[in-house]
Amino acid sequence: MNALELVDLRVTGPGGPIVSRMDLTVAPGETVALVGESGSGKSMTAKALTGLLPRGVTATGAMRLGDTEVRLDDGPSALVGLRGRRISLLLQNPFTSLSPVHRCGQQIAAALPGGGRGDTAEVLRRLAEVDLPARVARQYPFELSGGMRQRVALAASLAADPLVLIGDEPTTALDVTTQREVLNLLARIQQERSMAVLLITHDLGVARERADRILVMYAGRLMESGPGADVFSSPLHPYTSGLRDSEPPLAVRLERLPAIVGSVPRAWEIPDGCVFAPRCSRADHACTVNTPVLEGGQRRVACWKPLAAGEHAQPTAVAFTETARRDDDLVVVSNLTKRFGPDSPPALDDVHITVAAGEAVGIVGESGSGKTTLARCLIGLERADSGTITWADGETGARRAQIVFQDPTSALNPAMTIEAALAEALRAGGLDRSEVPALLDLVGLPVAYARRRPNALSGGEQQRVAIARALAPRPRLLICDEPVSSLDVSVQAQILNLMNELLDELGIALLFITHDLAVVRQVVRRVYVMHHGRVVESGVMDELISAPQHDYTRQLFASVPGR
Amino acid sequence: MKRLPITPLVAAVPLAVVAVFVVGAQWLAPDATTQDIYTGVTPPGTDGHLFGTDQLGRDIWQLSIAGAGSAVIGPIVIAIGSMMLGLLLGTLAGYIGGGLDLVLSKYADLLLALPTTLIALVVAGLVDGGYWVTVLVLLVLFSPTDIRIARGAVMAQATRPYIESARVLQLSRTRIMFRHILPNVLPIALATMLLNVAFALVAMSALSFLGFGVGPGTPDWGRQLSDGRDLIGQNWGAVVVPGLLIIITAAAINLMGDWLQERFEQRGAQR
Repeated sequence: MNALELVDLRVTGPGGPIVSRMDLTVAPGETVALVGESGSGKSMTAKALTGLLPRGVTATGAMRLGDTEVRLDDGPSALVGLRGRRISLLLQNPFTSLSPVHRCGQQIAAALPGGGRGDTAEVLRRLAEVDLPARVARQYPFELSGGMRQRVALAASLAADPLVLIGDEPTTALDVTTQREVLNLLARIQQERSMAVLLITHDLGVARERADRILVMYAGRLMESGPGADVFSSPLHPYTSGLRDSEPPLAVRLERLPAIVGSVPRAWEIPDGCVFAPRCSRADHACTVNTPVLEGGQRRVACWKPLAAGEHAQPTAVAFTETARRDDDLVVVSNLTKRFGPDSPPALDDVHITVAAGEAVGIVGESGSGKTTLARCLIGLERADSGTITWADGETGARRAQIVFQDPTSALNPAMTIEAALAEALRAGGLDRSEVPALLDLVGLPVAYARRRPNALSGGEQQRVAIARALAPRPRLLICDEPVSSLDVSVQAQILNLMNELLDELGIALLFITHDLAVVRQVVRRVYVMHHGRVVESGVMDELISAPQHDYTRQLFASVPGR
Repeated sequence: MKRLPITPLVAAVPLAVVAVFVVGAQWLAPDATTQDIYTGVTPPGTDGHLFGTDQLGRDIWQLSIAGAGSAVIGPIVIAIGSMMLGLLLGTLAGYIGGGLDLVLSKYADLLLALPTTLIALVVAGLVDGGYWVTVLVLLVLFSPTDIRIARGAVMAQATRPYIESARVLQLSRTRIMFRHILPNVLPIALATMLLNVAFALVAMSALSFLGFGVGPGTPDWGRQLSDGRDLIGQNWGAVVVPGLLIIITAAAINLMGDWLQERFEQRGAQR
């Protein structure tokens, strides 16, 4: 008997349908990954299954948890008594999903069957199950690291021994090395308890590595499903194939990533017919009229013109001819040290880096490695305690360096039109606003966007504007701090391609800061690896991948999921 | 399907009526100050006087319509003035920070510690009263709330990446404050302003009731309340009509302000 059976789930919000006609089964001990980009409806599915939908959003459909039937039409009350015991939810951010004012032990105890008051031995047993020491029971969440917090959250969501655990991006907020540990732990516990796991993720690598079966979701509909080993190696749906190809490979640098055009439709933009048709290169008129349904045996696909076997060969990897760096250094950083408090460990500890004129350099590290602090010191938003930053040429002010941040939405002034924002940046470089159309064209946006405000743009478009603004004063160095981390995979590829084009065209230097090795691989030739405020290793990317020297670098490469 | 917002619709009706009173007083209430001491006090329902007359024979309803102007205009001036003062000082304190922030914050704390109505009474008494003196005093006394709200909102914006981008573009502090931060703080300040209109309306009415504010003979809700106290046995309308007008107007403005504030907060949360 399946642990979870879902028939014809539909979720409807104020803006229209969020999830349409979704069927799903998960057997005991099985891991099913629900993969999708933002706006695919994957998180709303998790909320519908646990009766946690926000106000104004309703679900219909039938669910069976073991031998218990649940009619989702009856609203959240149908799940009272089942939530936690039969089906449980592990969320992305353990800092917000745990209560900040209760000790970790209390939070686990509260979730134990029968309230578990005073049952200290049981709490300690649960902590041991997630590899945490007994002292954690007396600690508050803020005293723990992100990985430990997520283990506490896991222990709490498993406390009532559910049949089904839904993990909604359970490791997305964690660093890759911690992610690996938590996923390994989850797999071990799952096996011991023979628990069904529905893993919701945007990370194809995680899905590929961990799932027995993969379901691909797009704009509220299932596009494709099949065994974990096959879905991404021989995709049937053009979307699955596009998504797979958009993901930058770690092993090679591609001259151009195959990107899917456009962006994920918002709830009110969902088209008739096949929802993917407007972005699909294979679509014809019929695709825009009739909605395909998920059909097939073990491999199922919802497409009128599915790919045939052999049609989905990996994109040919173009060994990229990388120009060697020029000799003239643009900026030299030496002995840079920075502490945010007398007792805190140094954010930067004797850091040396150089960037040559026109060179693209990467800085790779996990959270707390000091990579962002280094960028902020370079750009002048933060002042180092000691050390020097020497700029080789006489350029000062806005024309020396500019920065692109991670979250494009907050990087643009919501009250300003795109034109005003770009004109201001041009003026900062002593240029005239008449160059605004050229600037928009440079980043691949229609000139008509000048009159829009940021909230009328998609995330990818906003990031293009942020890049245009940073390029407007014609800086010698462009610093990008996790520029694609908050973007969907299909959009990420577009932005990475754009950055490569811009580097060729403008000949400016780039400092690319990221936690994602595969992403930085596609843009730079040389990287610095940072750990605990220090540069632990540096070198040419190819050599670093084939023969990492430092232990930490090795660990970092080994932790990249699904490769 | 978007839900129809009930609150602002309910609040808009009385506010529209009051606005008509203020603008159209001379046509709606041409005889507001016409005295008729032979008639004197009459109860509501007296021929030609819906809510009766006061001891001078003035029609209560017309007097109340004519009183809308002084009841509402002063509070609006107070709220807008204190919003502008608050935005200016709050932005300076919140963005520049340091010693300036310390001085401005202490100034705001000091003003907040003072009992508003009492100070207004003392000042009005010292400089021989007058409507606009009261307005000015209340404006200054209302400003610390606006300073604090603006300061907090500015500080929340100042660490956002778009402000950091502006700093990296080497834009001047003045430009960052007034071109970038101010437009994003304005919605919150506007919602606070509406709430302040309601508070100021009550405060002004209270001062008029105590004999400060408008001069004798001028139509004003607060003054009507105070004058009508003695007549309550003969004409309850003399107290109830201006009293209800104060309550309904203040409540409607409050509802509107609350609704706006919630909307802006929701929008802020979505960003």
